[in-house]
Amino acid sequence: MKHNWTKGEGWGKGTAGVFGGFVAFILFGLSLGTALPDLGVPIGVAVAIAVALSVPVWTGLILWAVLAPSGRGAWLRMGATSLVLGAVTAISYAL
Amino acid sequence: METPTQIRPRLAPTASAPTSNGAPSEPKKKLVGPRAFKLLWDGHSVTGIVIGLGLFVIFYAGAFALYRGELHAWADPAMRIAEEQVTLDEAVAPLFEARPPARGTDLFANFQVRERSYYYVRYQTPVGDTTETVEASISPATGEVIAEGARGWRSELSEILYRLHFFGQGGFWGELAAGFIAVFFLFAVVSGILIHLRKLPKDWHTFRPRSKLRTSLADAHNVLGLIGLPFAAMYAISGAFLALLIILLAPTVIVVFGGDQEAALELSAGVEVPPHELTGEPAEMLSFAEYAEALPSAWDDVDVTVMNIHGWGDEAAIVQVYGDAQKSLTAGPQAILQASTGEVLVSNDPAIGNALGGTTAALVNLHYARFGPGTPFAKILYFLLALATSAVILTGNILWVLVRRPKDPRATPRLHRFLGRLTVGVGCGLVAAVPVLFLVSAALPMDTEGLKTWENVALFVPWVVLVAAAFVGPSAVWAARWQLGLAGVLSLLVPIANGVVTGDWPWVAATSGLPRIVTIDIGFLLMGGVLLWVAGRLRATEAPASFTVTSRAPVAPAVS
Repeated sequence: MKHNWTKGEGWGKGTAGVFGGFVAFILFGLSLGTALPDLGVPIGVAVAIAVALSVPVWTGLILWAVLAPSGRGAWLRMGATSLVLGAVTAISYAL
Repeated sequence: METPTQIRPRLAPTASAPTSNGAPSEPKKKLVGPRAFKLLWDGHSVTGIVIGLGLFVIFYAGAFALYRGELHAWADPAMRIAEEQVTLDEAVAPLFEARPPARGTDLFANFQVRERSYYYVRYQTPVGDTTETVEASISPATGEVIAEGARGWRSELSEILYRLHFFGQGGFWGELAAGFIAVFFLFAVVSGILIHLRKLPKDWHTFRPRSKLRTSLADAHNVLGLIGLPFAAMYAISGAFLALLIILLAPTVIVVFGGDQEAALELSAGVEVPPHELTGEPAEMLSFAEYAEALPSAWDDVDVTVMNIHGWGDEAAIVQVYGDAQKSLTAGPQAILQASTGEVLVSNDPAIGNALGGTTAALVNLHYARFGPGTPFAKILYFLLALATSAVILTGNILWVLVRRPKDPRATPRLHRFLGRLTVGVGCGLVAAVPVLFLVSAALPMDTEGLKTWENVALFVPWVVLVAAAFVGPSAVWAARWQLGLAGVLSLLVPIANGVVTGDWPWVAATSGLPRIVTIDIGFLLMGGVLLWVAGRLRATEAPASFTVTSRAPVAPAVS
């Protein structure tokens, strides 16, 4: 059994994991820090959860990018995740 | 770097890949499907090869960074103390008399004698109409000022290795690179677990040092990787947290705290700094000992570590007192006092949890092995696990080359040969360059002009030379053998150099109440022995053909 990596897939997944994952990593922390207090969680606890989980979440996103069907798929996954987290952050911030 | 297209044919093991060559066989169960398995296997190996050498430097230097304070004492005999004999108040009295702190300025005092081997103070002293900074490291044994200047130590040995641990020599970008490497290290750990999942119980105890090099390296990679798994995961997470903290917190402060940095810091500390404005009215400051007493009243078993006095000599000055709770992983004791009266204005309470402060304290304390009464034992364990992880990283790199060895060694890609040599040069070269640093540091007197520069030269120049030397000679294994042998001999010389120069031979230091010096010397003796043993084992082991440099020349498939 072989998996034939194309150049596009390799670079696509790699850059999606590094850069897309990094953006999602920041937005994940921000979304927890802004959204959880709106749900009644003390802000200190919210930021603590963000601090504790951000790196593992980024790693999970890299895994998810690697397992994507293609390089474009990996970017779609990272983009969609960042979009959702960014929307959560923006809405919570506006509220 | 090789492109994914280039590595495609060699990254894909067959369905029945043997288990002894480093490429685990595919799991038959569908816990990780065949496609996911292959993607993860490729991701694991490519990630390892990209970050491997940087990660090795981080872990190997980190093993020494655990003993930062001990190394300060080893490098500078004036910092070797059997016990704390002089209080900070007594120690700073002559300094304050000669150069008193300027009224209304800030003073910083560090009491972390156990970690740093010295007291450290930094404050402003009046000079005409302006002030100048006084920084001093003071011996807790004699009260004498050991060093003055921008940094509070004379020898750079400890700090070189400490900063190398997070590429501090590269400034912000170096630290950022270390953070990214830590994140991808966690990815390598998780993907490694997933691809080895089905074989984990077997990998735990399968080690065949007398088999051919490829098999024994694969076994060592798997066994040491498994033993150090929780340690590696902890370091990946806490290391990434520490290195990327600024990047993570900067947007958090802006968005979550509306740009109020003080609010974020107060939330983290669990203590709100009361508003205070200096009045300009002079007031007598109390002693450091009196300020230190504020902490143990609320916390059990606390060592005062740091004090910050804001507005020295002013009636409204306040003191921030920080401590290290010996029995707690998550605690960060802190109190804020009125400097003129010693009244506790606010302190954090051990009975009240502080999620953010506790989380960050836990990550920091775990990373630095600063928890519980057994810290010395934890540090030894950390040290051994850091060396084991370093070995996992290097064996992973070498396996990457060996697994892709073509049947005809002359067809070995140039990049693979380069990578094999580079791995030996960076890995074995650093292992040999570190004792050179120790030997030079021991040999040069503390008053040598440009001592810190010479110490930097003593590490980096031999390292670069050894990296270059790894590209010379019949094979990478040959280079590894002599470099490890050299590292072993140099390591054995370190305690001898210490004994000759300072008289603190291990048996003398042990009876003089200097266990930290003994620890370092014994550590080098053991390390020297192990390195010589490994070098000897390489001599008796098959030299893989793909590790030869002269790829165009006919090469015997097995050369010892």
